[in-house]
Amino acid sequence: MAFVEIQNVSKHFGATRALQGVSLALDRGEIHGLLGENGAGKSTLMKVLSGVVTPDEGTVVIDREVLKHGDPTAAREAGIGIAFQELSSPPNISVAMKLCLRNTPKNVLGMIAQKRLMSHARTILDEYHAPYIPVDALISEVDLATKQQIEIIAGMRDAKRLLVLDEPTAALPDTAWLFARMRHLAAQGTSIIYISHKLKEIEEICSQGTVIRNGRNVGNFTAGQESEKELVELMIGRSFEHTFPKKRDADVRAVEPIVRVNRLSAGKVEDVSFSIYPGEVLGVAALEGQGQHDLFYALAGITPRTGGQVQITRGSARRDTALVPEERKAEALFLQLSSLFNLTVSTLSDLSRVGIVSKKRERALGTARADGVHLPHTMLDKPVSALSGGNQQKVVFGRALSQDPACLILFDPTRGVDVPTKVELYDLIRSYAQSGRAVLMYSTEIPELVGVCDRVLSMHSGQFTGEFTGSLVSESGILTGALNLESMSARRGIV
Amino acid sequence: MSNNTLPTDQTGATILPDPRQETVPRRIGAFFAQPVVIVWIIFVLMFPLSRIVSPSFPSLGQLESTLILGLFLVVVAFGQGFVILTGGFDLSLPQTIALGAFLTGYLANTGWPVMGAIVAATIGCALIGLINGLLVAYAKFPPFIVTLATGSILGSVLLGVSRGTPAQPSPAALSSLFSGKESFLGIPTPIWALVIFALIAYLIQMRSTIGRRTFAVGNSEIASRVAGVPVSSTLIIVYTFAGISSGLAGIMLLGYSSGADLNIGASWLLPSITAVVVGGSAIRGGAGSYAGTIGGALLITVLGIDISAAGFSEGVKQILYGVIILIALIAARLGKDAGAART
Repeated sequence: MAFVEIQNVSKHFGATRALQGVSLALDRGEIHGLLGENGAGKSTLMKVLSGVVTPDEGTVVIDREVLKHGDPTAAREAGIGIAFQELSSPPNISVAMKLCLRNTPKNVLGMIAQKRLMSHARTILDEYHAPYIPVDALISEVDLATKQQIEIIAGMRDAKRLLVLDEPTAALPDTAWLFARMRHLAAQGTSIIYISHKLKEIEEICSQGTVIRNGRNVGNFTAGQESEKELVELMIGRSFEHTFPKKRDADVRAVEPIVRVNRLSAGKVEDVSFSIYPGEVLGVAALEGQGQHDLFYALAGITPRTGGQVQITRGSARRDTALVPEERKAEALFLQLSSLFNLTVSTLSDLSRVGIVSKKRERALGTARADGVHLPHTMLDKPVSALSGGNQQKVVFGRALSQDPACLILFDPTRGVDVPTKVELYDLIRSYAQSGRAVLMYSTEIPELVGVCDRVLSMHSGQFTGEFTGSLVSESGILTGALNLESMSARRGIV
Repeated sequence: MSNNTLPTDQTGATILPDPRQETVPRRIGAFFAQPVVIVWIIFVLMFPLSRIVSPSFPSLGQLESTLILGLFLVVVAFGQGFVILTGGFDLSLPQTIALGAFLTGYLANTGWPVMGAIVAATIGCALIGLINGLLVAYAKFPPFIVTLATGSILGSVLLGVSRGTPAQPSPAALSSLFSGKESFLGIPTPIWALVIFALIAYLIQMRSTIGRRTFAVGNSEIASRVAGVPVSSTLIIVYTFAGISSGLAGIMLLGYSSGADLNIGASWLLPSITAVVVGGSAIRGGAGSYAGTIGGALLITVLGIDISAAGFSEGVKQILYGVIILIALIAARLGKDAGAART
């Protein structure tokens, strides 16, 4: 019997069968990849392992002990640690509190002993080779990558026997630290289930893997044996060409730009100038927290500008900009409301007369929008919180496109989105540019920028460090710029 | 059931029933699980249950007085509910009610035509709402502090201005309209007022662009800004509507009780919130239906009538409103947890 045995686990929610007899076996210290589209059942399986969800049938055996279902405490005591992708930390506690939630040092009055708490947290961070994380900062103050790192450390601390990591690199672009910690933990005898969309990472870190689709096992693989294409096809259940849409071939800079940014300062961004031309997809490549967030949100009118001018030639567009923001759930969606509401709320004046909304026109417009982004009509009346990540992002895209902006601003638009949906989104991005509008896009995945963008600017410490066009749009070149490897004196003025 | 009873398609393959298909019992179950439906069912059940407190209940008269008395709560709960939908509270509601009643009575007594007095009073109350809205939208102070402060200032100003004549008699025309003694087509005029107000308020909250925007702002302010929803102007309009509805309630109360003192609004704050919460709205905003609020308002009204009939005092009612709010919040929490466990 293997060290960790997940046997025949099934779970349905109402009429939806989330898991149908899923089995997984891991040896002690094995790092096991779990591949599957959004909605394949990965998160339900995680919830079963963490004791949040009680399965209808099936057993989980760890080190010959049967796990008691539906009991988070039992799961923890069995040595299961989990790092969720949807970061589970309350925003208003300190980093130290999050790390010591279950054994907070108390003083004689039963109050939290702050000094001991801080020093304890520092010890933990040192132990996990992350001493640079500030222990006294609030969770809401640290950036997304750090939040994810803290989540992972907290999960690893619980994981005496089994660790489950859900898409950890979606918010943590630098894998070096993560993989080193994972190997260290595995060497101590903890088995790890590694969930990711990124096949390269699975290849690099996992020895074995399982593919699930629609709540069932559809295949097992050994690292290095199957090609990326085979795995993707196994994952989505049909033949699939992992391609990007064709880029525009003419030189875009012969015409007047749509967006002219002159010496803009906002937040971390200092004195940057650039232009975006009609029909162009302009990419920004940067490591986490280099000012790209402030730049994009300032252009979208969310972050206040502290200097410089932004000039946008609107032409036939209805608005200057529309933003697909970083955090879909927190910043883009009205979670308690239907997809229909979410798709139509930006253009209420189109479907109302004397201030009263026509339900008929609302539905007609919503349906058309859903078609535009390939969202099934059955999703329209569901609360948008019930949709999968990919479908939620389609709603966000549909609404941004409905705002008909001169410049579409996309901040990491494919995060947490399944591969087929990614391809659909790439096509939408390209066709919006082709309609003569401008697109500005940032992505944590540099291959995505290489595949989608006509031109890429690299950013470091709130400044542009390089510009790449045509055949120069390559992974290695862009990475050099993003890491700011060339000397600062080599920085050129970019227009 | 054996397998061969399942239908097959042209190729002979068995067609399994789609597990996602909604069955009729499930749909009926989902219908009755809605807070709006539950509150209306409890409201209807209250009538036979009223027999416990008085042998003369249930009666047509009881229904009639519920609807007449319920008018005021339906009106104030609209404004309060609209503000709660944005994630705020309007605590200046009692003083705004008093302003509406006082201005109408005062102006009518100084020789203004009744209609002119009503319009002026409504505009005055709208201004209070506008000030609340501006402070919430632009100064970004927490709504409950803003409205507590404006309410307190307004109450004191009213007290100062009205020194000597705090009680205002109602113009005769207004009294006849809202005292419940006049009828139109056999139905007392306040009930007509209730129906007309409810329809307009429903349209504003559930079907208008401003209603949609209010839901959006209440769900997420940052998502509203990303989606291009004008957050500030939405908030300002919502608070202005709240001021207007409090003012209208004050005017109606002046007519109903044939006169008003400055405390006329004092007992309406807690019930206004209770009606909204009992009606199934989320206390933190973003979700709620006006049909539920009406049900909540009428349910509370009939409870109040029963309490009075049983011989208890006004204080008992206020205790009950507080208890009902807590019960409704607990029920909403339990319902949410059950919903979360399902998904």
